[in-house]
Amino acid sequence: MNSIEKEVVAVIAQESGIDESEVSLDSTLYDLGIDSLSTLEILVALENKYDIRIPERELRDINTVREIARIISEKSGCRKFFLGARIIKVFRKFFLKRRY
Amino acid sequence: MKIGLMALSGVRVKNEKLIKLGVTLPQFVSRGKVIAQLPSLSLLIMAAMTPDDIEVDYVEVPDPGKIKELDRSYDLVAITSYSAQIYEAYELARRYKEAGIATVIGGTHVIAEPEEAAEYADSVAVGEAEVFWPEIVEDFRNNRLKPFYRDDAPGSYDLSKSPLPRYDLLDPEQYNRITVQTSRGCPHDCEFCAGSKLFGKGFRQKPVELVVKEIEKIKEKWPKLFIEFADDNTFVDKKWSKEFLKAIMPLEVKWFTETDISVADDEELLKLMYQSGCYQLLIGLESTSKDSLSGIDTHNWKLKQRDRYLESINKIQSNGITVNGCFIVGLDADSPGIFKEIRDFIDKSKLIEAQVTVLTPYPGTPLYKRLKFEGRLLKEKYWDRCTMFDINFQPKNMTVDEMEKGLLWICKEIYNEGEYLKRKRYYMDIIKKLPRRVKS
Repeated sequence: MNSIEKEVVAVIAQESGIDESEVSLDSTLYDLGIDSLSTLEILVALENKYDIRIPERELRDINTVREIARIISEKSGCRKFFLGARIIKVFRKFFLKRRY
Repeated sequence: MKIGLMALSGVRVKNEKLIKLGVTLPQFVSRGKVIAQLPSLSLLIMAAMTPDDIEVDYVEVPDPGKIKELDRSYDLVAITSYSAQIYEAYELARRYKEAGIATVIGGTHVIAEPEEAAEYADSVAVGEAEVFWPEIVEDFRNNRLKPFYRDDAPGSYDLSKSPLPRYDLLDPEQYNRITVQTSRGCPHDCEFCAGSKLFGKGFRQKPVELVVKEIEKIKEKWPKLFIEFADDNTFVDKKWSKEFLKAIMPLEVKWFTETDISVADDEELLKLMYQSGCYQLLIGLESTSKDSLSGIDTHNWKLKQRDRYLESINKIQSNGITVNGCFIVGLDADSPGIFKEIRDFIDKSKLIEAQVTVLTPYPGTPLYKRLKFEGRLLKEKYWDRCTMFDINFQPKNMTVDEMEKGLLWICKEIYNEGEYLKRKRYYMDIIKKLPRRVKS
């Protein structure tokens, strides 16, 4: 398990009261006895943790723990990329202003 | 001695096109699965009232036709069923009777049609199980089972005396939602309602401490508990409701119940509901058309609420409680245009879940009596069409075919995956803004 997968498992376990050892990457939340509304609460907890927003159409692909981790990873990766790009932009602007 | 307590379980739908469509509609399927998994509370109460020296089995029968060999270890079999499965229940009773095993039958359908039920079972229980189950068992022991057991004063049983249902008979692996009853009856006298009046008029409520005791008992077996309160209208008495919600808050359960739209008027109540673990309220909105709502209940209470539907739904859902809005099609003022009107309302109101069913004349209801009098029942004793998805009467302002097509159309419109995902996202955006609630 990579670090995001481990964290997703931890959040699912914490939110649902299930022991972490019972949550595998291939488990579906339904298999774990988690109902549809609780699933949404788990996703909101993950969104808050990673400061992301899962778009409506991608909620369709969320079945297994692995799929949740993949979407989180993609979204937070994108967020980090855009955040990085913004920092570079600000730095360049600041640097160029100082030079000229 | 051994008694088999049997419930006909699962959801029945006869309309082939709807069955075919249902398989592809996620919301339709998920609610169906939930209903199919709910245990029969009345049988668990009867088990609790059975003397200790008698062995009891709790059995759910999804399809009696698949039972090849009857369990002949029983001395007495008690069966309960709703109208949609009643012919299957009768067949099961007939088979046990033929096998020489005594049978008792009860439930809401049987209360309305006791003479019919008597053709299939040795004994018919007409009323609430708590009233005469101990008498039935005693009479059976003494070989003097009567053909009928009738409640002389329906609705007078004091719920504070209700025993703790035998939840221990349930396999925890089989049930992820458990039913708990806090009240019986509803003050709204809706013409079509089969549940709230058959056990007697009036509204009765259990003391808070008794419900808390039941939940604590269930939690011993299901630590991650999801409760469906098996009430007709839980929050009639707002003072009781607040006391109740405060009492269950420390129990950390998730729950669902049925109530009316008046809960939206009490912000404190809504906050207590959310904090005490309420996930969904099922509310009978019945219709979007004022003409159709007119005359539904004796005081036109629902018609008077109609103008506030949008505001009330928004108020409840903004508090993190999803509303499952229930609509009935086929009411007398409904024309084919009603389907689009309801679809547009669901869209506008952002109801997180919606349920559209057809008007169903259940036996024993004022609606059944009226449609029978008007000669509008499609067939006598068309009980297996009392599924809420099959039509068994002649609608007033459309044909049966138009109503069937309209129902299929609206199901496709509101239960498709795109709509389902839109509602999921909307709910996520609401709860993102709210404080976290207790976790079980």
